[in-house]
Amino acid sequence: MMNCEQIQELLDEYRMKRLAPEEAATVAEHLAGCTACAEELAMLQRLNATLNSSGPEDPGTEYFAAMRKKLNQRIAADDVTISPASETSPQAKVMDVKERNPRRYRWMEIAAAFLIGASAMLLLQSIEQQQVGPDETHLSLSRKKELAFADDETRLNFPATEARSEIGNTDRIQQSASSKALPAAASLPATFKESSSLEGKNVEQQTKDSELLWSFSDAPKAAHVASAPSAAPAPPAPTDKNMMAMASPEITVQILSIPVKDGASVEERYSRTTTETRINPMAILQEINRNAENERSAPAPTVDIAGAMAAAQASTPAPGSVHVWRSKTIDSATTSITTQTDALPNYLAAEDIASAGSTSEAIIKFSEIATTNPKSHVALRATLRIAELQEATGDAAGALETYRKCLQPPLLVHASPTLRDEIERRIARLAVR
Amino acid sequence: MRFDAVPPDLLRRASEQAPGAFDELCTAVQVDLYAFIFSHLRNHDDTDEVLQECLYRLHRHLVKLDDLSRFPWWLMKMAVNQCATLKARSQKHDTVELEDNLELQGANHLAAATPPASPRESAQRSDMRRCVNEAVATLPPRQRSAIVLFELEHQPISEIARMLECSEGTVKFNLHEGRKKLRVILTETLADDVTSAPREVRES
Repeated sequence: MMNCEQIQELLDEYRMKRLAPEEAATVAEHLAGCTACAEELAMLQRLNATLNSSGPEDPGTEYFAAMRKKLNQRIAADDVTISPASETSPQAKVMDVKERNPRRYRWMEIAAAFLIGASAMLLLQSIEQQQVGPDETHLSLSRKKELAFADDETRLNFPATEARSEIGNTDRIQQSASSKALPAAASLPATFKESSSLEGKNVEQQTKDSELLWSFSDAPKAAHVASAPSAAPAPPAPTDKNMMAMASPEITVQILSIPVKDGASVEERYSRTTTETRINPMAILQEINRNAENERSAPAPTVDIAGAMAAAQASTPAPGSVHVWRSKTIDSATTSITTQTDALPNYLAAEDIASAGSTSEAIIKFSEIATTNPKSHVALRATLRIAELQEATGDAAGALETYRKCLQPPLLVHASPTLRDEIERRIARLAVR
Repeated sequence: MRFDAVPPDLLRRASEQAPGAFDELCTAVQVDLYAFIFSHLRNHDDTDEVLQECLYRLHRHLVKLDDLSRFPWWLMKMAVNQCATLKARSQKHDTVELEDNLELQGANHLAAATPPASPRESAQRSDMRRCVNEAVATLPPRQRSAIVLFELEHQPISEIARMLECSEGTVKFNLHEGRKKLRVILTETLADDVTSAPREVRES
């Protein structure tokens, strides 16, 4: 005697009449006495009928004729020439791959930016940890250039920081931390190197009174990372143990990430995840050097530093944390990060007003949101809510106009096909009224 | 089953690359192949792309098919693979295709107008078709293939497992999961509850 679970496993085969006669008889007998299994079978049959009833439209003979013409052209071209893929240069292939997988490269750009930033933080920390008397000595010129370069490269927004160095430790730092940074310079664009040498001169001037004073006042043109290490961990006494820790440096960084992927829902867009990870910047620098060699043809990602810095300042980061932001240009988000961060609270506030019953106030609030983020998906959402509220208050003409606005640029791009259909349905409904 | 109506003689000639045989074979399979691919992809443009690719591959690789009696499965497997490839590619470049949708809707309306049905009936049918298409389109490729091959093509589980290169247990699992999702989506969509519409808008 089979139980319901066993019977339901056989329903597919039973439906398709592929069971042996005895098994089919057992199933039929069970179905006659068990409503649950009979309902399950009926449901499967309904689903099957639904799926079968929705076959494709006949695309028409013209379509097939046109398609066959294209196909024949392709086959003919294939017969005449050698496969074009074999003729392309290796570089063209690389570019082709890159065009086909832009996201993969975008990810690498972001990862590289973040890792460079983290490694530069380590350099600064290791300098701070030296804590020696002011009358000791100067850094060598090449060392200064490296340090200047490292900072220039990562564009960290450090507060003016004093750091002094001791000759005995300098060698060790050089060996442990920054000697591997130099090859990176070789593979970077000329402008980077220029600015790094300028910084080097600057540093040299400031070390005249045997102190090394860092102050990065010039905001460079591009930034990968915005960092706000307002309070670095208290510098421990310079012991051999610390030196050992520096020789194999590993730091903990917090990464704040905001998903900005295409088609993300509003909740997704505002969900921020903070992850903590331990990294070894030296190993990463080596990796970046290798990647830089491979990807020299790739244009360096550029970002608006002011935006990134404003974003970093707008949030209140944990002491010593590094914030990594996906930049405007990298992911082509059209609204600035700061605007997006306060859009959600405003939106929720407007929803609260709406649910409290003050429809006209809510409409005003939603309009404000829509006008402050005109090209954002938030604007679409806010506009939709306005339309819904107008519809609720009986202003059919206003609602109709507002719905139509949703189907026009710049809001339209944010609407999914399902949403568009829904809006169209509502417009049709209102138009009938 | 689809494609088993192709005359063996035609297949043999096409396989031997006899002049004109491939054209004849294309004509014999194109409508069914279109329908089969459409049942996976649920939109005309993607179907068009995969159909062309499949026929192109048919031209290139039919020579390599030793057992011509396996032709129907061979062609279906190729189509399933091409659908999965296209799906994977389009997920990387997820774009909004407004014109395409409108075009397709237009095509639906035109085609729906051909049979002598009342406007209400044709609208309902078109709506239903769209619901089902959208529902099927949300399924992951594996589940979709399992559903299409089992429910629409009536292939036995063992054959589906062979085509998808997985175990029969996996096919059953994919069928079960796919059906579970379809039930949920179709129940919601077909309910056509006006009061639930605003919520749907906000969430989508």
